[in-house]
Amino acid sequence: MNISIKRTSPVNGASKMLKVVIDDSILSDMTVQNLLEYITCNVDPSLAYYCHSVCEHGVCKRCILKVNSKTVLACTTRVSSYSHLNIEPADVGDVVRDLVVCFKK
Amino acid sequence: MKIVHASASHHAMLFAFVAQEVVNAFGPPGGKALRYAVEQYGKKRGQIMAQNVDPENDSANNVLLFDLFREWELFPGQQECLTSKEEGELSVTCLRCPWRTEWTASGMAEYGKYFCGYIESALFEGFGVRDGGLTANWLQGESNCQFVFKGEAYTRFNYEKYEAKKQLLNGRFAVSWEELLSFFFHELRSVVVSTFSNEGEAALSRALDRYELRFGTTARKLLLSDFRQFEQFDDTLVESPAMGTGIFPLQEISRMIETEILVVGGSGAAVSAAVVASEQGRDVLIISKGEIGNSGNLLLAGGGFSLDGYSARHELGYDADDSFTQDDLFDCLIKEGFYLNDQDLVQLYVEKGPAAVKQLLDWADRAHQKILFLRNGTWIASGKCFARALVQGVREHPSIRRLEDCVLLDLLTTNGCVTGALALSLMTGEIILVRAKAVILATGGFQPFHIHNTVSDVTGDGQAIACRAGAELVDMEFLLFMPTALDPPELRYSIYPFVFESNLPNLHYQFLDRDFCPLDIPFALETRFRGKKISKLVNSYLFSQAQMQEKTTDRGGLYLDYSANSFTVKRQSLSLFFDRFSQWHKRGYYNGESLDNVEQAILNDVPLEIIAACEYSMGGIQVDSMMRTSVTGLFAAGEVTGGTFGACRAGDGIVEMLVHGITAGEQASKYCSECKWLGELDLDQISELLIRYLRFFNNKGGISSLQLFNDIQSVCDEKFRILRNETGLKSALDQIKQFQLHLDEMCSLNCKEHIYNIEWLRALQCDNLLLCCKAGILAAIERRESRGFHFRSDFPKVDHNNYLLKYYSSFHDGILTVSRRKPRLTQNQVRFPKGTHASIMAYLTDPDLHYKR
Repeated sequence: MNISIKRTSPVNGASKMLKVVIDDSILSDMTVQNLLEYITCNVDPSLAYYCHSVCEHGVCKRCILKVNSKTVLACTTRVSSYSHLNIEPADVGDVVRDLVVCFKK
Repeated sequence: MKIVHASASHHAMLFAFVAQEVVNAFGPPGGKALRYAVEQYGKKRGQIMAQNVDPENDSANNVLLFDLFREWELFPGQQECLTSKEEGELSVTCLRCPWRTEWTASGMAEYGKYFCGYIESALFEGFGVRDGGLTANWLQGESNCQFVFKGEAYTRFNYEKYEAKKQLLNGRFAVSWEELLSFFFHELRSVVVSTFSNEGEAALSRALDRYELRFGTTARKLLLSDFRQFEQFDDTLVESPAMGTGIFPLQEISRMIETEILVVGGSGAAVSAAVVASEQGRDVLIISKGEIGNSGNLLLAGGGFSLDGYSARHELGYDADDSFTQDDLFDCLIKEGFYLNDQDLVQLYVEKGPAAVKQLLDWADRAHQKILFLRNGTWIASGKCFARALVQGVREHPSIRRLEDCVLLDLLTTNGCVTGALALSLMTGEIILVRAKAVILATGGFQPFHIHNTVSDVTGDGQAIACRAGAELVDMEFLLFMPTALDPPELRYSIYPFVFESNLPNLHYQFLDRDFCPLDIPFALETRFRGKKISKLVNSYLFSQAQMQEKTTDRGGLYLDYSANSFTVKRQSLSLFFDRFSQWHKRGYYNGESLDNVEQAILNDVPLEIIAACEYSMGGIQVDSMMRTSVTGLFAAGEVTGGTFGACRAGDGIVEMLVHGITAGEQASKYCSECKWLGELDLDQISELLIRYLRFFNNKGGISSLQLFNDIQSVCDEKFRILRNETGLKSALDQIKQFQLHLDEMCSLNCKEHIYNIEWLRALQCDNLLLCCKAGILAAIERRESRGFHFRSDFPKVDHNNYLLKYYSSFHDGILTVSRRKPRLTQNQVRFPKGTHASIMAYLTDPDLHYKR
C-alpha cells in the first residue's frame, strides 16, 4: 500500500510528505495508530504522532487525524478499509510537529 | 560527563545579572558604575596580557599580537568570525559570540550596552593596540559587530608570521575561566560597593542568587574564591567532555514554577488530592502526562465500583442491601488479598470510601452524568462518565493550576526532603523546574507488557522516580490480569469479555483450549466467583493452568464459547446488554468499538479468542495510612502506591484512588502549614539529572529506544506475565540488566528536536520501566510460592509458613536491593493463618477461610 504522511517542522513550520510503501500482508490487522507505530519503529523514528497516554479504544480521542481528507480516530480506523492512505494532521488546533496537534480548548 | 562551572557563557550571564540588578536598583548612575567597572577590568586584563608578550614580537604592537597572547579560549562553535586581510587593513566581522548568544537567549540583551564597546577599547588600551577598534555594534542595530584595524603593521609578512606563531603557541597563554570570572566579579564588586555601599552589596547578592540558580552552587562558590587557587584543580574542571559539546546543563531549564503542592497525575487520585489541597487554601499545580480527566486507566473502567451495602444505605442513602458491612468488606479484602495487605491501608479504604465516593457522585451529578446503582452497593457507568465527573471537580476549583501533556522527569531533594521536580512539556520540548514544598505522586500503575488492557504509557514513572528519590517500593511482583479480547481484531485488548461476564448473568460460557475442547473447570469455580472481583483471579488461574498444560493457543489465549445457550437466550441477553450500555456508549458499541462481529460470533456459536491481559498493579510506592512515603514531603496516592490490596485486588481501583487522593491532599496541606519556605535546591543534583536526560542526544551506539521499549515488553510477556518459574525469571532479570546497559550507553536518538520527540520520551520511560521490572522480577524470584496473582509453575503451593511477607525494593548508589517484612496489622487485625494450601484455588475454596462475599 502507498502511504503518504504530511510532516511539519516545529522549527519553521515547513511541510513535506513522507512517502512509504508497505506490504499489504503486514498491514492486515492494523489500525492507523498501529501503522504509525510500525513506521516509527521500522521506517522513520523521527515521525511524530500523538501516542502518549492514549486509550487505544476510541475513548480519549487524542489520536484524531485526517485520513484521505476525512477526520478520524487513528486507534479505531482500520487500514484494511483503504486502498491508499494520505495521512495529515486534524484541523483541531495548531500543528506542534508532524501529526501532533495542540487542541484548541 | 563533567559539568562546566565556568565559561564565556557564565561570564556573559554574570554580567547580565549584575547589570540588571544594579540598573534596576540605581538607574543611570548604576549604568555609569557598570561602565567604569568594565573599563577597569578591561584595562587590567589588557595589561596582564601584554606582560606575556615576548620581546622579539614587540615590534608588531597591534591586534595580531593581541590575538596571539589572548588569555581566553572559547569552545568550538561558540564564536564565528569572518576575517578579511588586506595589505594595511584587517577587518573582523563577528557573526556569533557567546555573550550575544546568552543575552539574546535570556532576553537580557539590553544590558549588553554597558559591556560591549567599552570592554574592547579598554582591553586594547591596556594591551597597547592603537590602530583601530569596534566600528559596528549589533547592540546599536547593526546586523553584526565589526572590528577594523588599519596601519602599516598589517602586511602579508606579518600575517604569515602571525599564522605560524599562532600554531606554535596553541593557546598557551589562555587563563582559566574560573580565574577570569573571579577577577571580573571582584572588579564589579569593588566598583558597585564603593559607589552604592550596602545597597550595592544587596544588588550583587541578588545577582549571585540568580547566577547560582542558573549555573549551580559550585559555579557561585568559584566566583567568590581566590582565583590563585584554581591552578591546582584546573585539569579536573576544564577537561570536561561537556566543553566539547558546549553543554551547560542548567541552561536546559526553560522555566521555573513555584507552588506549595505539586500533584502529578491526571486521574482520580490526582484530582481528588488537588481539590482537597486547594480547598484548604493551598497553592496547587497539577502536571499530567496526558489530559486531566482524559488520561489514566479510569477512562477504561469496565463498569463501576462498589462500597459495602451498609455504608451505601446508611451513609449515602441508597436503597442497598445493608447485610454486608464495613467489617465484612475489611475481612474480604484481606483474605482475598492473601493476607499481604497493610491493614491500616485497608481500614482507611473501608472507612473513608463512602465520603470519597459521595464526592465523585456529586461531581458526576453536576456534570449531568448518568450512573446506575445496584442493590449490592455497586455503581455502574462508563470510564468516560467517571472521567467527566473528575473534570467537573477540577473546573469547580479554578485556582488549581494545570500543566498537561507534561511528563514528570524526577523529584528534587535536598537532605532527604522534597524540594520540587523536573518535568518535560511534550508539546513545547521545555524542561520545567517546579519548586514545591510537597509533592503528591498520583501517576498510576506500571505494566510492562504488550498484552494489556490499560491505556498506553503505563510505564511506572511515579514508582521509579520515587524509588530513585529514596522511597521504597512494595509488592511489585503482583500484577492483576483479566480476560481480554484477541478476537475480533477490531476489539483486540478490549475488556468486553469481562464486561459480558459481569453484565450478562444468564449467559453461560465456557473456556475452550487450543483444540476447542472445554477446560476441565470445577463447577464451584464457575458459579461461586462469577461476576465478582475475585473472578479475575480465578480466570487468570485457569489461564495459568492451561499454559502449564500447553493447552493455550499460539498467541497464549483460550477461546470463549457461548454455544451452550439457546439462540433466544443469547439474543435476549445481548439485547439487554445493549439497552443498559447504550446509556453510556453508542448502541451496539463498547467504548469506541463496534460489537457487531462479537454479536454475530456469539449468535452463530463461533468461539472468540481471549487472553489474560494486565489491568492493574497491586505493587507500588510504600506509604503509611497518611499517604506519606519515606521521603519527607513526598506523598503518593492511588495505583502508584502498594499495600492496600496485597497479592490480589479484591476492592476497587476507583475507590482506592479517591480515598488516597483525599488523604494525600489533606496530609500534604497539613505538612505545608508547618513548612514555611520552599526548600533550597541542590543545583548540582539538577545538573546531574539534566545530563542524564540529555545523554540520549549525545550517545552513540545506534540502539533505538523504540526497539528497546518493545524488547522489554517482549521479555516480560514471555517470562513475567501469567505463569512464572525460576529459570524464566532469572533469565528475564539478566535481560533487563542488559537492557539497562544498552539504554545508558548505547541508546541514541535519530530525532534531535525536543518537541514531541517520541524516541526521547520512550528512552526516558524505559529508564522507569526497567527499574519497576527489576523490582518486580527480583521479588518474584524470591517468592518461591504461589499467592494471589503470582503463579509459580515450580512452586504451586500457597505457603503461609514462609511467605506471609512483603518484598520491598530500595535504590541506593545505582543498586536496587530487596528486603522483606511482615504486613502492618491494625488493632482489629485479621490474624495471620499458618500452613500451606496445594494451590491458589485450594486456598480460595478452603471452607476454613470463612469469609462473606
